[in-house]
Amino acid sequence: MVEFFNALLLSPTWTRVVVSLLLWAYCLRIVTRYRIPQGGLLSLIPVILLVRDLLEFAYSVTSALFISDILILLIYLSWAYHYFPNKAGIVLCYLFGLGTILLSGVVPVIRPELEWAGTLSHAIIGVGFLYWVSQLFQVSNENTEEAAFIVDNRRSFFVFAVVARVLVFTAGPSSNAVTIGHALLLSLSYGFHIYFLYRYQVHFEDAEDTAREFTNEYINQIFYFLQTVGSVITERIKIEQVLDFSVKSIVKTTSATSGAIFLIDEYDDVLTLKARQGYFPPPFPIPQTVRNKIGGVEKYLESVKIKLGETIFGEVAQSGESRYIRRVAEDPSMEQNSRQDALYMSSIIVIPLIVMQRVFGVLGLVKRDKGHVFSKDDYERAKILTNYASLILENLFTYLELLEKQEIEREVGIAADIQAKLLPTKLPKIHNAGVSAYSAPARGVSGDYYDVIPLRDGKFAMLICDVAGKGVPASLVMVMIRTIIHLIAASSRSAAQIVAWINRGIVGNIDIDRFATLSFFTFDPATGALQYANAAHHPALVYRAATHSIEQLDTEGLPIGIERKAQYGQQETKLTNGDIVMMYTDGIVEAMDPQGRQYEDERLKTIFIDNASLGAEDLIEAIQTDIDAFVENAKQHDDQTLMLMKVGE
Amino acid sequence: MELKLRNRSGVTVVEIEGEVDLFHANKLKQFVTELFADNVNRVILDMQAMTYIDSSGIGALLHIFSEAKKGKRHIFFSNIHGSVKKVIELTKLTGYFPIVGDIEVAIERLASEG
Repeated sequence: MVEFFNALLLSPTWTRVVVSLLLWAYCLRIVTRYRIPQGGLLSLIPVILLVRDLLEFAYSVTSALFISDILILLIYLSWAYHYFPNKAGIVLCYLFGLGTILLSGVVPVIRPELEWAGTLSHAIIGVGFLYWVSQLFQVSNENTEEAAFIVDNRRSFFVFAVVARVLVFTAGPSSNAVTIGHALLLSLSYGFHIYFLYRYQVHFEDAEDTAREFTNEYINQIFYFLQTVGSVITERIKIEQVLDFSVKSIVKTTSATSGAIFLIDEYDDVLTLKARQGYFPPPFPIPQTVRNKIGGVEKYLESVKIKLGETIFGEVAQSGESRYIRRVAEDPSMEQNSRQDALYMSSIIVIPLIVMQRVFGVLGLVKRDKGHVFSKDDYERAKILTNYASLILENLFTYLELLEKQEIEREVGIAADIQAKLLPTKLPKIHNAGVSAYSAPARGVSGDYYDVIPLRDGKFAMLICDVAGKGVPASLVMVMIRTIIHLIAASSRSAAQIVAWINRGIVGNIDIDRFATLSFFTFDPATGALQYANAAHHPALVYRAATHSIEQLDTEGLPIGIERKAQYGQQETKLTNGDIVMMYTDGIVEAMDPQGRQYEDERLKTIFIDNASLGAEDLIEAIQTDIDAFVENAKQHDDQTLMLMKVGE
Repeated sequence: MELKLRNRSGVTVVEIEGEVDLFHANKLKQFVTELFADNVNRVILDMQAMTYIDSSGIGALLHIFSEAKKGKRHIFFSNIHGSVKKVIELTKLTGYFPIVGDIEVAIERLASEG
């Protein structure tokens, strides 16, 4: 025993023992520190080498050499198959192993004279290593999840394996150069394993660096994203711009070929394309007719409506669960995208756009390069960025809604100026008739317009008009009506004809939704003759002093601005002293009290009749006071205009 | 205002809920105009759940109806009642608008009009 150790310490084997122990320590460190497939088996290799060397030293058996080599080969193979499972390969391994052990371990014992057994073992192990390397060369990003390590290192592994085998084979166990051969081979065995583990260390350190760099770059991207969205908002929000920007940055971050955002329709349960970056093949079957050309596919994608629950997009939108199909070619549901044509894609990620547990769209990312697929990291990054984008988009939608309201208010402000210039600042003094008006716009500008226009021979015309909508367009309609009325009222046409002319002047020149209702009459104070025409406005109220009663004046006729050929009826009546004609817009009778009750025609009529003895100005004031008392502090929600004419003042 | 899209016997029914006023009229207009742009040619605007309409809302209906006429499309307004009915009567559009009692009648009419 003492001799054994003495010899060991004096032999090169001693060095090997030290080396193998150090290797073992290094191996354990790497295996525990990084996630390496078959780490346990890999850390057995130094032990196998150590045992082999001790056996070699003690008994000088070549079998140990072969058996240790085959064991190490099997470990490397099982390591490789952990990356890309291959059942046939594993069976082959066992055959290699069994064959070599028989040849190098059993045959020399029972038939020591068969020298070729050792040579054959060498050959088999050599083939085994070549097979292992050939397996490594099958690996690509497309078929293997963490292929980077193998792809980066297989060349040097190949060189190592070939050089080692060639050396061993030419040296040969039975040749005279056995010592040199063994010396080389043995150090190569160690060398290879050291190299193998070192490459792993480098690989993981690089990955850590990349991750660190990415995190920095990624934070910058998020800042840039927020900043850009911010500037887009302050300039002028275009939701499309934000969507475009979102999809662009996510595509860039995940190195996708292209990306697309589909949003759920506001009114219907369908998804439609809203933004796209690059050529995006639909991840679902499409009609054969459009399939052949990229242009056709693009057009199809732009117009397609995807029902919730249908196709991968619809499923994601409905479930709210992301999908990541690493290898499209292997997914039976993606069969249409695995052929090499306009629909081809190698990998796809689909992520729902969710805020407050509500899905409002989906983001799709595809890779179209053969041999490249999305990594798990890409998927995680895409998810995080998409969450950011969702949050921003949802805020934007809310903000836009608010802005739309504000925009209406702002326009209303401009229109208020126009309108203030339109309404008569002072009503004309009319001989033998008192005229008075009251107008209170809700929210800055009124869609109401009223006017008193003196005509020839002491006659005059009065009108009240309510234009639908608010803002500049409504004001423009008022300007038009006013211009036309001032131009034609002076002609000696009947009231019905004048209204028909106003209508003809307006139809076709305004949007139909800017229609107006208009109540119009001409009055001759000398004769008391009144002509009335109504374009769908509230009927005029006439107070008859003689009977102390109220009657309505109304005629046939559509609102102004709808039909060119609209016909208007005309009512004629004779008024006497003390009679009053009153016209008003719906803001008067729809004025609301704090409880939400409306002022109503009846109350207006009552106050009207009760105060009919008052002069035009005082009567208006009485009505105004009554409305104010009714409304109390409730907010006025519609323009209120009321005008009246009292005969004999 | 809320808009809901339904399909009844191959006819597109837009259910209008709530108030159609200055702030919502545009949304209604755009929505139906988009339907028309998508070649939806038979539409019923159902106003069963419409609680209020102002002149802007009437404007939107006028716009929709005139677009329909221009494109030779078929449209009906159904279940008009209450204050909405009153406003339409007041603006004298009862005879102008394609008003029918309920959705069933509208579907029958659409079927007979082809």
